[in-house]
Amino acid sequence: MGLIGYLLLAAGLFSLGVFGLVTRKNAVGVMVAVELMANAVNLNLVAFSRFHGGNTGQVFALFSIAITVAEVVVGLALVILLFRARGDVTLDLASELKE
Amino acid sequence: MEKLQLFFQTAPVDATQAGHALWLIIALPLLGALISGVAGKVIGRANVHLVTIGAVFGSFLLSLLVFWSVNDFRASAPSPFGGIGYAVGADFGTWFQAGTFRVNFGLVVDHLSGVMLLVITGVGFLIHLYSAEYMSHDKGYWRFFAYLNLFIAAMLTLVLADSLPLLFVGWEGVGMCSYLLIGFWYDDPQKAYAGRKAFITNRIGDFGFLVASFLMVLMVESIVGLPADKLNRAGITGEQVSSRYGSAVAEKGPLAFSVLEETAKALPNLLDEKIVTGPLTGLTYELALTIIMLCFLLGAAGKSAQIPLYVWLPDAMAGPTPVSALIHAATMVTSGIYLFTRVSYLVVLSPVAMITIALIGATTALVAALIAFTQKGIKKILAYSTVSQLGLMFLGIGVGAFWAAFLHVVTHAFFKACLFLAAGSVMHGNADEEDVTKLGGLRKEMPVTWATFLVSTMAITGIVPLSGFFSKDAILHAAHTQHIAGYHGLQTLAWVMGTLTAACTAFYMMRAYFLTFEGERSKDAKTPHAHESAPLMTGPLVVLAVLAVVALVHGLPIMHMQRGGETVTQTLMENFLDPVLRTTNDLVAQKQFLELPHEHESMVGPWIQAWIIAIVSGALAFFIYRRFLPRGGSLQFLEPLRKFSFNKFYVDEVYDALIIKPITVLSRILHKVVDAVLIDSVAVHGTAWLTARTGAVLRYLQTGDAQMYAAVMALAASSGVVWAIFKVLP
Amino acid sequence: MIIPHFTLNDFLPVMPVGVLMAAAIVLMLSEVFLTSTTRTYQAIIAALASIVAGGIAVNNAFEPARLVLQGYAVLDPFSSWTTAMVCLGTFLAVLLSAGFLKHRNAERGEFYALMLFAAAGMSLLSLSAEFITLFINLEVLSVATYALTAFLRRGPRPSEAGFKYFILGAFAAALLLYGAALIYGATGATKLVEVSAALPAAFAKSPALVYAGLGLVLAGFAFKVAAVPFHMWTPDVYEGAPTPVTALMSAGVKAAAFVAMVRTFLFLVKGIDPVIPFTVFSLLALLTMVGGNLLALPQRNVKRMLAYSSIAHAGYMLLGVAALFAPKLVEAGAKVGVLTATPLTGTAQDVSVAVYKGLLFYILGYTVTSLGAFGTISALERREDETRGNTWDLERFAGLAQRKPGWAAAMALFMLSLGGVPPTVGFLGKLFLFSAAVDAGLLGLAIVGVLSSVIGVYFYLRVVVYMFMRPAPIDAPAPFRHWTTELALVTSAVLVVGLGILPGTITEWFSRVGMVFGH
Repeated sequence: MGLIGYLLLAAGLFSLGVFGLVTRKNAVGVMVAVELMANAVNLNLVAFSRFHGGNTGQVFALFSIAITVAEVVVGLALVILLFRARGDVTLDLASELKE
Repeated sequence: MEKLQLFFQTAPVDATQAGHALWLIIALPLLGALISGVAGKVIGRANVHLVTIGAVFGSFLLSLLVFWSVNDFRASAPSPFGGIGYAVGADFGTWFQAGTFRVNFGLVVDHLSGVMLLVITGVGFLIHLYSAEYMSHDKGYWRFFAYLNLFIAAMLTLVLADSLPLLFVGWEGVGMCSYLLIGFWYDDPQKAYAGRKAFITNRIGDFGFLVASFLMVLMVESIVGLPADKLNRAGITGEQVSSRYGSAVAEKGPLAFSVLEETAKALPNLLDEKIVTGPLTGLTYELALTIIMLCFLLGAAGKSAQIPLYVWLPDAMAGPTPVSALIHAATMVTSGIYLFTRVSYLVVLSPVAMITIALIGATTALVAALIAFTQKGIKKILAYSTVSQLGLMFLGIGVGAFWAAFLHVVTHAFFKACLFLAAGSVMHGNADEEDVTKLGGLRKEMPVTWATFLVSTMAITGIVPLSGFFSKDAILHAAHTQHIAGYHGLQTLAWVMGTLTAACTAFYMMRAYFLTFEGERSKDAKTPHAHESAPLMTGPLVVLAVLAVVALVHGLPIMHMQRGGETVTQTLMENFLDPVLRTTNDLVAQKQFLELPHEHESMVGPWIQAWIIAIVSGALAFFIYRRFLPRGGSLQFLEPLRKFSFNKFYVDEVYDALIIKPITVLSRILHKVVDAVLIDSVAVHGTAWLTARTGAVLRYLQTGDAQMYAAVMALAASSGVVWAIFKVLP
Repeated sequence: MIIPHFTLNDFLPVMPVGVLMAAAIVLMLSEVFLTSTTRTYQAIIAALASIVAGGIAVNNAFEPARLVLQGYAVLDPFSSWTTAMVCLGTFLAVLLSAGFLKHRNAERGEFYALMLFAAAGMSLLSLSAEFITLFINLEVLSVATYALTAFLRRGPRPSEAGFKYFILGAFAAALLLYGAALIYGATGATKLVEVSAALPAAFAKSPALVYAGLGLVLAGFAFKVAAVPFHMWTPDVYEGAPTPVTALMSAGVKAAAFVAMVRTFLFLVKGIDPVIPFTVFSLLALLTMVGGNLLALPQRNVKRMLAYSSIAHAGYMLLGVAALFAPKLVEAGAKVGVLTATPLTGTAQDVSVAVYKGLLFYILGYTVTSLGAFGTISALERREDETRGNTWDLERFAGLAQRKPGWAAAMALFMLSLGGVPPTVGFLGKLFLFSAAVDAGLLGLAIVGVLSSVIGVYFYLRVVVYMFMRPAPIDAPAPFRHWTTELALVTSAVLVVGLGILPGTITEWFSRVGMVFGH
């Protein structure tokens, strides 16, 4: 499988992530979708790194993973907050902040 | 006489020093406003009076000093373009700069703004004194004085500015203060509405001002780009003009008055040429100039209450009476005339603009005078009279008699302020009764108010030898004898209207006087006995009444000067403003757009004529209101006319019917149509409504659903990328 | 392993950040070790730190523009001034928070620490010159603001706002990351300087990759600056966040994101048909100016109105950005259109200097005005109303002039400045920006900008009308009093008027040549 294959796979994963982000009703599910997108990009980075030689892409991917972890920590805290305030973590249409 | 002249021409302050201290004149009332506005409630009534009145008085003293310096023959420093400046000024450096456009923070006083300075601070000081008593029962006194001081500061900025943008700062400032003061008693919705009406009408005018300034910049820039040989003129080569002009624009900015003056000097040879650079490409300079002047006219009409934007001024009487006297009679409303006198060198280059200004002025004067015939509120009468007098001043501007118009500004400031303050005194002594038919017989009860009101009435009526006669007659005389090239017929019409106005003025002012002060006290009066106001109120009245008489010296033809080998007799004011209007006069002589009378005929004829007009209509008023109708009521056969006039010619209703109603009706129809199509009723009340509705509809896209937001983002990002890729791929 | 040789010179640009971070750590430790009941000292520490950091940044602003830290960051006046303005914003926001939190018994060291971390992220973002750095700094800033948004944990609103912000922010970050990865793939480099050198060749080889990359990076930035149609999170998050945090987000975050966007795209448009970036930025500016103002129009909730207004102001700034990317070679007879340009007046150099000045001055003006406006609101909202929806209703402002004239005057001033009425800083900002845009040939778009700002005047003045011309309701709230809040409001009011009347020296500083590295 050449570079194109990896790119297509990553694009597919990313699109899947976007789809999940838009459609999932569960807050945790939405976060998983966001993770999927980040990992699709990581796949891209690693593939490009291999293609270009050198290790910049891999370093980028490592940083990206580390940053995403920090992000998820805050995200989960927010989900817990959401759960405390509402009693569930469903993202329904009836929201307080709109219009 | 010689010694006296020398005394007036030797100022104790050096001109440069005076120039650098100019900012103080504005800063003092500004500081007063700040102190009174921030700490007024805490420091108490007496201290507020001390601070604010003291600030205006300080400004007045400084203005006197500066005025003195302006008259100093030693101050006649050469202006950057040769000639003599007769001005005291200082440039405090760049105010702001955007690209090639630059505005300096420069203040300047010449003979024109010097007189305005004295009027503003002097009359302002008297009115502050008066207000201390008049507002003594009002809890919002500190707010009132803060606004009043702020107004003075803004008005001073307006006249001290040496460029249009800075003038506009003052222009907006006085507008805002006027709006705040009209709506001073904002808990009354009617009064708050009057404030808003003034605000909106003035915004329309400001729009005109801004467009005019913008076009002016474009025109100046197009002249900068012209080849030097286009700029040749007598005594100076095109290269010199071009380089000086370019550096002046770069140094002072395109909208400084000195640059505008130089522009006017360059224009006579260019008027028929087409502009070749910039967005104005294709227009001739004459057409561009005319458009600019008409836009300024819209701006001036808004501020100075001319047709079609005069409707706000009568409603503005909702504010406290001292405000009406200061802002809506003496100072702010004359800023339109000040503006045109300031740029008089541009006005005289456009005959179309001149005749338009003259006609608008004359029509306004006559219409407002006719409306004033039947009004009942004493302040309403005075308000329409102000509109009418402002119209006369515009007539003066239009026919090129700038000095006469300006003289009328000054005399009008004195007698109209006096009339308003007297009216305030009447209301103060009669439990706030405004209706003239419910007053009467006040002569004995309020002697000082009566005397001052009578003097000012005679002044405005134009009875010789009070000051109003000289200024009004100078305008009418000019309208009769100076001809705008190509518009003789229309100008005669304007002159006739002006003369009729003079007759009407005498009539309605005498009517107001007779109904208020003569005869017996009306049965409907709110209080059985009126009381004369306190000295703090009558004092300013007396001073103003005296000034209304004394100001006549400005209108006396006592100055002789050499021009072109012959001795010309000029009035004091004309002679005094000569340095300011020199370029204007040169341009008139050069272009002949304005035909001046060759020989000065004797003034006695018009004097007698004016006298007859004043006395006949005054007598008519006397007979109607004292003899035929001493008890009120009206003449039956004139009743429909009276109603027509009383309802202000239904102008508000006409505006309502012509502009507001059609929009409403149209929107109703659209509403019905659209309603059938859309479930949500999307009414279209003009553009504003449409905009509001679009916003209101758009907000429903904001569902609060984060996932929908994400979908929109994803869609936008992907469509952008796809668009870019398709744009490059074949 | 080679240890690079760094000199003090390299660390100059990150020194303000060092100060901010050190102070943040001190604040976190103080929360653990000091148990004093009054915590105003924490605000004072944070305020002092932002003053010191801002001072260093101003000092840096007079250094010549250059690459530092092996090309990972730049030191140029553009980023230094941004850092200084971010520090000014943080200073004011911290002062506003002190009273705000005290009033709600929610004073915690973390709050100020998070604010300082966010500020550090903002200033780092403005000087990043490499994609990995850019991404990390963007996340430092974002994660801190996610946490700040949901800091007050009463009722469902803060958590909802926080979570929305988090989800959409993470999505935007992922888009940016994807874009960066694609550009890296096309050019083999992540440093902007190297990327821009390699772009023309990469563009010739695989245009689709480059375009996709650029588009995704732009989408990521557009989210941060809240450009329509990436704006939809803004009102919800701004409304739900504690008001001082909203103020910081509307000023600092936006400023940093704008500067980073400008810097990145100045490098990324090499070798591309200049019409494309110009059209895209013009379109974004158009949509954002018009959309923001239209959306703000029907709002009766003042805080939400200000959120939409911040979108509109981002639109005006985008107008400046579009002016920067205006095509330099335009036929002399080009027609005036909304998305087209007429020829430049003057040289490209002059025009870009004017645009940078306009952008920086606009950001400065918006920072002080918006901090002031949100600050006034924050003082007026009552704690017990937090769970109700009408805390910020226009009706709450009715008759404020009678009850609290000073507050009403300040609020009126901020509204006038937002509406662009002279003599406030808002007017001058608009003047500089619009005239720079006209100089760059964007006459049509500038006219749309002016017209849309006329719409804006309506809803800003409506607040003024309510304050000055409506009677006060019986249960009208009185603003709480705390000296820090008042200090912040007075500072912003003075700056709004002062800069509006005497912009002199500052505009001179902002219009130096060599403002942006490599341009």
